[in-house]
Amino acid sequence: MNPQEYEILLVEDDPADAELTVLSLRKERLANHIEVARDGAEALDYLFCRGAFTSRSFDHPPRLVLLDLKLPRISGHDVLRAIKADERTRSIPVVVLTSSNQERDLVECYRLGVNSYIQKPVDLQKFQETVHHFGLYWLVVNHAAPPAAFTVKSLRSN
Amino acid sequence: MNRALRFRRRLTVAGICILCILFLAFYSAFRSAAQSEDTNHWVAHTQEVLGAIAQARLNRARLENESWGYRETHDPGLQRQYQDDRRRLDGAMKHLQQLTADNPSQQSLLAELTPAISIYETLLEESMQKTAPARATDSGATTESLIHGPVDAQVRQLFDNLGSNERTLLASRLEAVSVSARRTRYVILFSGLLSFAILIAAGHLIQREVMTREQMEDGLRRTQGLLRENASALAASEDEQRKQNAILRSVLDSMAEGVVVADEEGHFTLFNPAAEHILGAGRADIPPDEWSQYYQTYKSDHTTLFPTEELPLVRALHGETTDNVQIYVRNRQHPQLTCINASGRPLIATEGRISGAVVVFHDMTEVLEANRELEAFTYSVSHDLRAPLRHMEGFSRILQKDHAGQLSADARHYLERIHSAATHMSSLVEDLLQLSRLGRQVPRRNAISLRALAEEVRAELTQETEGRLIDWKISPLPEVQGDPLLVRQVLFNLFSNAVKFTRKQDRAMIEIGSKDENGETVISVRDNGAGFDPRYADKLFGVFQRLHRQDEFEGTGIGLALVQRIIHKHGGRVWADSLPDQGATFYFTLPARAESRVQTREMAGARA
Repeated sequence: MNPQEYEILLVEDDPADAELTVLSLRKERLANHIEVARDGAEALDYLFCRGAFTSRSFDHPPRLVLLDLKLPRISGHDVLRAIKADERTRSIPVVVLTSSNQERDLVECYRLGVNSYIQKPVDLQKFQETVHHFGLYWLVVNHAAPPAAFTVKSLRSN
Repeated sequence: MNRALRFRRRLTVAGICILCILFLAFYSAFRSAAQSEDTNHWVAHTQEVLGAIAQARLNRARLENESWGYRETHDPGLQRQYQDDRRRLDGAMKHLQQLTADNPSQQSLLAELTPAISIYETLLEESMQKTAPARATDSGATTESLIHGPVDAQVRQLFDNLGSNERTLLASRLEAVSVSARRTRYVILFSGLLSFAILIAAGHLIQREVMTREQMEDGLRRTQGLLRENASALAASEDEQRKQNAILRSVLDSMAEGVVVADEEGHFTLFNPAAEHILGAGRADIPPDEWSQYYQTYKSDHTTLFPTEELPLVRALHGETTDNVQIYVRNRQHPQLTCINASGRPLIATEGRISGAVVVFHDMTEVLEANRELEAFTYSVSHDLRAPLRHMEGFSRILQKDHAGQLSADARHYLERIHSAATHMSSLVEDLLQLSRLGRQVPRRNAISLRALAEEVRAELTQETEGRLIDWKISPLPEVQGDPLLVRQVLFNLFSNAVKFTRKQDRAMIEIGSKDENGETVISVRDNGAGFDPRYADKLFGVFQRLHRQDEFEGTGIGLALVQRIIHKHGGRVWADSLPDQGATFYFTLPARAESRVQTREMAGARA
């Protein structure tokens, strides 16, 4: 499996929102592959290679997680908490992409160790600009931790 | 009272003095009179002695005559007369002896005189015997005279001495009488004058006292009048007070706020029905140390007992003023804790001493519940209401951009309508959320440099003002106290309004200035834009109120409402004046920098 194919995990329960985000990402040609999880539980299964995703390996973590906060079953906050609490997933950059501009959400996310917090603009054009910027930053400018690091860490933690 | 007593005592002393003086005066007058009488008596006595002497001398002369007669005539009748007169002379001598018993010099003269008279009588009788048978001759007579002549002369001489002695005595006694009479006159005159003077003095004194008394009585009457007036005024004010008390009582009984008053020792003196209802426990005579335990008050974690010494009523008893302290109370009537908002004030007696304290509180539970619901609602709005809008906007935009060629002009027009409707609703939702967030927010109080903030906001607006000619004039602005984010919002809304409403001007002018007015700083934002009709000025700051048509100047009608709410939250004022097409000026005030730190701390406390 080509690791490039799993560059972004989008956690979004709203299909319209998911479609708009995917459209924007595609338009910016920032991701070859976008995996969409429809709720928090599915996202965690994917990230922790369990349930329907046992075939996945920690060796190929997504380059970026785009996380909505208001999710069915397991909330975005809990997903974020789980990612940042585990050695194996902590290094994955998480960008919260949400409708909420409530201060308490913002504060809580940063407390849990989010890497970026972006409020979805209503204006598609603005959204595309935003996607362009964070995509460019997290996927191109920023150097991700090498997959080996994950492996070593996961071995150690085992 | 005192004065009367003093007067009476003085009067008694004066009376005694006057009595003494008068008594002395009359006593001396009486003495003088008595002395006078005595002297007179002695004068009479002397005169009697003189009379007696004269009588004796007369008898002696008669004896001599009778003896001579008898010798010449030998008339026995004369002899009898002689015998009678001799007895008389003896009687007179005895009488004289008695009268002068008190006078030794006269007594010694009498002692000489009495034998001399006896000898004289004997000589006379002898001469009568010798010549008894014969007629006496002239020679015989001469011889006789020669015989008893010396005795006669001695007797006469002694009588003369007696008489002159007595007369000298009379003269001196008469002199004494006159002296005594003069003294008596003087004494009487003096007593009379003294009495007169005393009478005048007493009269004067009494008159003065009467006048003083009249004055005092007058004063007393006036005082009594005043007292009567005071008494009636007091009665009226008592009546008024009773009325006020009744009003206060019914207000306290019917109000929704709990009111509890304690005296300085911590005994409850007032515990209104609302207090009992809210706390679920009434007045109890327990010491302040146990109030927190007894009334089951907790801190915001719902489990820690509220420290008794921090209860507003206890702090007020120590002279502290507290405002809006949140306390959770376990009211046995309710399953959940009741949240109360309490404010305490010390009661200061006139001498500045703390005479007790009052706490006023109201039940916040419902308000908090409503706030929680509102928060949940706005959270939901911010998440869920915006998502569909975003989709409408997003997909209509994709249609417009990527599929425009496949659409008719009408379709493109309708698509544009959908797109702008979604955008507009999105800003409505955004502004509403901001407004509701502000309602629950307590503004921070930091020092803000308005000038720097204004420049920042202007820079932020450059995108919107691109391609337009705008003269910005930002004069030096003062430092103010406030929440930087909120004040920034105010400036942003006012500036972007100015930018928006000057859109039709070839050359827009936006001027930000400040001036001091009645001790407060007034900030103004002036533009030369469309302005507004001052008749609708009262609608300017209302939520969803717009004075311009949407196709003229777009907007949600929330921006100025937000400005007003922020300024009011800071304790300032906001207003505007304008004329259509002559620009508008918006004014607002903010607390100056010199705001006390105490308030800042209180605000911080309220946030915590």
